[in-house]
Amino acid sequence: MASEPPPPAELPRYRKPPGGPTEANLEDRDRWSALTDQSLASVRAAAEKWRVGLAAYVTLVTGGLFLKGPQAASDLATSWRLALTIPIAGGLLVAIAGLWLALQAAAGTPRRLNLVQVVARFGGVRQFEVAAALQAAALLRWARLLVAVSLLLFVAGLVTWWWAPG
Amino acid sequence: MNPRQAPPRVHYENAAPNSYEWTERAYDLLVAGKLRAGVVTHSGIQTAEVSGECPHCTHDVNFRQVLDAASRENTGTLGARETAADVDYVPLTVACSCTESHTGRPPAVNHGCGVNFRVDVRRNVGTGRDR
Repeated sequence: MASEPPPPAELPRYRKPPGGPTEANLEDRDRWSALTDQSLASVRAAAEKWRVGLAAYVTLVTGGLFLKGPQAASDLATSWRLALTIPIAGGLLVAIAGLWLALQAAAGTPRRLNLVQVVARFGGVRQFEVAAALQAAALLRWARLLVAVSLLLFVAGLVTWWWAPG
Repeated sequence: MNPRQAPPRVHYENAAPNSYEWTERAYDLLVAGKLRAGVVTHSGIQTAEVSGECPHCTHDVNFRQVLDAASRENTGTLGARETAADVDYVPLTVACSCTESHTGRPPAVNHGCGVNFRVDVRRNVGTGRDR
């Protein structure tokens, strides 16, 4: 029976660097510190632009629905009305959820903080800000996904309407 | 260093702040346990911490750097671009951030003795404070 290979020897905790810091290393460090400091403001600003843009998309597509008019929908047979209601109402609900998340990502939620708790949980205020920025970025990702789904639902509703008899 | 013995007062390093000498000395201090480096994770945010004897002024280096950030473009981690050379170790560019005074320190700078050095610390090595 073949014996198992020996486990790899554990690497030493520290390795001797082959050289001292270069100008590029120092610049990377300083620029990264600046990037870390700007994380929250940067993500909030991006989220605000996304929120406005996503709302504009929703307005544009829902505007197409109103062009044809709710009156026209009421003239449809019940089965076609049902086929229209599902994507349009679903799209509206998903769009509302998406825009709510985008708003939350852009504006945040004011709440009481405690320095001791923040430091204990995150290791420092700067880390807390980065964590808040990453959370806002995650909310924004969900918002974009939801608004994209809502737009698809609206488009499905519009296309269904075009094909509806009457 | 004997804690009762005051560290020698050294001049702020302007001549060769990035000399390899500081990196070599720092490595010797790390191996001797007089300087410590690690990456701690709190709530998913990684922070590099280096503390202990500075290779130049012998004061506490007191260096911290958050390794995570978020930007408009994407999110990332400093040092996360893994290549064949740095899969096992996190390379850190450390600046002495001691709070002691040093003659010759520029007026705009309020900490440190002026030296920068490199530390390569094995990945997944914390300082015992991870959460």
